[in-house]
Parts: sequence; C-alpha cells; structure tokens
Amino acid sequence: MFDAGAWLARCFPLGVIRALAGWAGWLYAFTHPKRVAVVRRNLQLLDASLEGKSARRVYREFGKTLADYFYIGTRPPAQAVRIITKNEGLEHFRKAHELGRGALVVTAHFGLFDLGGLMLAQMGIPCAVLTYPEPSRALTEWRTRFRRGWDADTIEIGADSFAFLQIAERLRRGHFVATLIDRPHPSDNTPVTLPNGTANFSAGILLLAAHGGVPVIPATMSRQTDGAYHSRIFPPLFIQDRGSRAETLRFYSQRIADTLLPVLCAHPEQWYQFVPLSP
Amino acid sequence: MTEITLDDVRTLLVDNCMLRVRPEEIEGQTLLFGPGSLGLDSIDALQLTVGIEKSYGIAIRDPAVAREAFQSVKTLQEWLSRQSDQNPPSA
Repeated sequence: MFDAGAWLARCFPLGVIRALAGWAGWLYAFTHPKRVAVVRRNLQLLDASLEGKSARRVYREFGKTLADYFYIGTRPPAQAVRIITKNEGLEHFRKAHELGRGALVVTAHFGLFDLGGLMLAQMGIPCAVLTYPEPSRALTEWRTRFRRGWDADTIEIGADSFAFLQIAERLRRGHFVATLIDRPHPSDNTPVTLPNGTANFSAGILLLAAHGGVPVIPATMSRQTDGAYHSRIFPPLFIQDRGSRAETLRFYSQRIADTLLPVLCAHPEQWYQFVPLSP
Repeated sequence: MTEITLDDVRTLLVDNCMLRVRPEEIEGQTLLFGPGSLGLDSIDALQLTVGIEKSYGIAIRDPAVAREAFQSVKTLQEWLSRQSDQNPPSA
C-alpha cells in the first residue's frame, strides 16, 4: 500500500492525491463507526462538544496528511520543504543547535510531524526520529528508508530497555532527536490533564534530557486551510529536578501538554489519535 | 582487583531505581529485567547508568555492553569491579 501511495504521489499532482486520500479517509470513517467512536472520545478530551462529525473529519484529514507524506518523500528535499509557508520560533532551533548539546523535539501525533525532520535537515541540523516498531518489519524498514530520503534518521525503540543509549549518543553528538509525547509506551507514561479529561503522555525520555542538560523544544506542524504547513517552535524547557522522579516527569509532561494544547485545540481534526488515550 | 560489594550494588539500585522489593531481598542471582526479576524498566536502566557514571565515573555508551552487564545483580557487581580496575577513580 505504501509503495502504491508513493507511486501515486510521483504520478499525480498533490491536489489530486490529496483529494483522493481525503475521500478514502472519509469512506473509511463512514464504514468503521466503532473506530470513529474511539476518535470521538479522544477528541472530547480537548473539547466536550466535538461529536462524530469531527471524528470522521479526523480520518479525512489523516488521508490528506498521508498524501502530503508521500509527496514530501517523493520530491527533492529542497522542493518538498516549500510546503511549509509559515514558520514561528525557528530561532529556538538555531539557538539550541549553537548550544551544541543536541535537543529533544517533542511533538504530538498531529499534523504532518515528519515534516519537522525535513525542515531540520534543510536547516543543516542532523535529526533522528524515535519510532516504535511498525506492524511489520518491512514497513519499519520502508519508513526508515523514506525518512532517509530527506536526511532524517530513525531510531527504533520498543522492548529494548537500553535504546536510550542510542538516543544519548545522538544528543552527545549535538543531533536533534524528535519524539511523539502522546504515544506512550505502556511501561513509560504519566497522566496529564487536558481540558476535558486525562491522558497518558510519554515521559521517561525527559529524564534523558535532564541528565544531559539538553533543551526540550515543543513543536507542531499543522496544515493550513490553503494546504500549506505552519510550523510552530516553542521556547525550550530545561528539565530541573522537582524532588522526585515521578513529580519531575509529571510536571514537565504537563508543561509540554499545556504548550501544545492551544494548537491541538485550534486544529483538533489534525490530532490523529486512533486508540483510546484515557488511562 | 577493586572490590565492588553486593551492598554497593544494592545501594546503587535503591538510590536509582523504583524497586518493588526491600533492599535486603536483593541477592546476587536476582535478575534485573524481565520475568522473575527486580522488574526494572527502561527508565530505571537510564537512572542506573547515570548513577554508575556519577558514583564510579564509568560511562556506558554501548547497548550491547549494558545488556550484558545488567543481567543480574551479580553480573553488574562483577562488571563494575572490572571497570573500576580499568578506570580507577582519580585521587
């Protein structure tokens, strides 16, 4: 399916594949009401008034995002990055890069977060993306190769308790490491308060940043109504001990959530959460 | 050979990990990860490596080395003793 998507992206204009993918997403939602119900419950963590229509829109937007993903992966990076037409806070990336300690870029499963890796590479900042294993080894390798096309590396994390050593090594070399904070591993999560409920966010990685004095930079990449993307890079956080490990993780996870929430709430249809988030 | 005692390792574990057992229950053969073990997770592993670097000045960079050294309390004790010999603390 992914090869077919890449082939379509090479052969057809972005507007065409985006429209097709959007309709495919809508059709999927229409025929999978139980999955739509899960997405609706997740959306209601942001806003209790969001109903099934909004959840179906998430699938439609996700289809469009997949089309954009194939587009950026099948174009020369210098061309692909022009899909981002509005940037806020790029100076935070530049300053962190100059600091030379690397940076932990934290974002949500929202918009086209992979564009961040492309953007960093185009800025001359080496970047690695943390991922869990995909449903199949072939897909994991395919996505790794796809990211490499825009000079972003992939670090696969999963059951290995020592994967953090690979991440630490990247940070020591001054690289940026990007991670999704709202896709926690079952053994590594902390509850954060959202406007209408609680969700588990990933937390342990923040300790790695704490030990290395590494800046933690929240960021989002959302699609605008004209189809172009808007990057927002927020001021860095430096993790300080809050007396206990649990309290440190809880405090900074909430700070990150609070930073990202205004953007998520402004574009809930781009928050791609397809499994239950509430503890 | 620099002797790192079982008590030294117990102290490391207690100071750096969220343990679900009492320190005196930790024996040499106790496994650190997986079924029937102390039940350490990846965050404990991170904290433990940082603790080792702070206490003994031994930095762990290689996941394969960490996997081997962190099998049990005993393997960690022996590995730390060997590393301490190779990297004696500066006076």
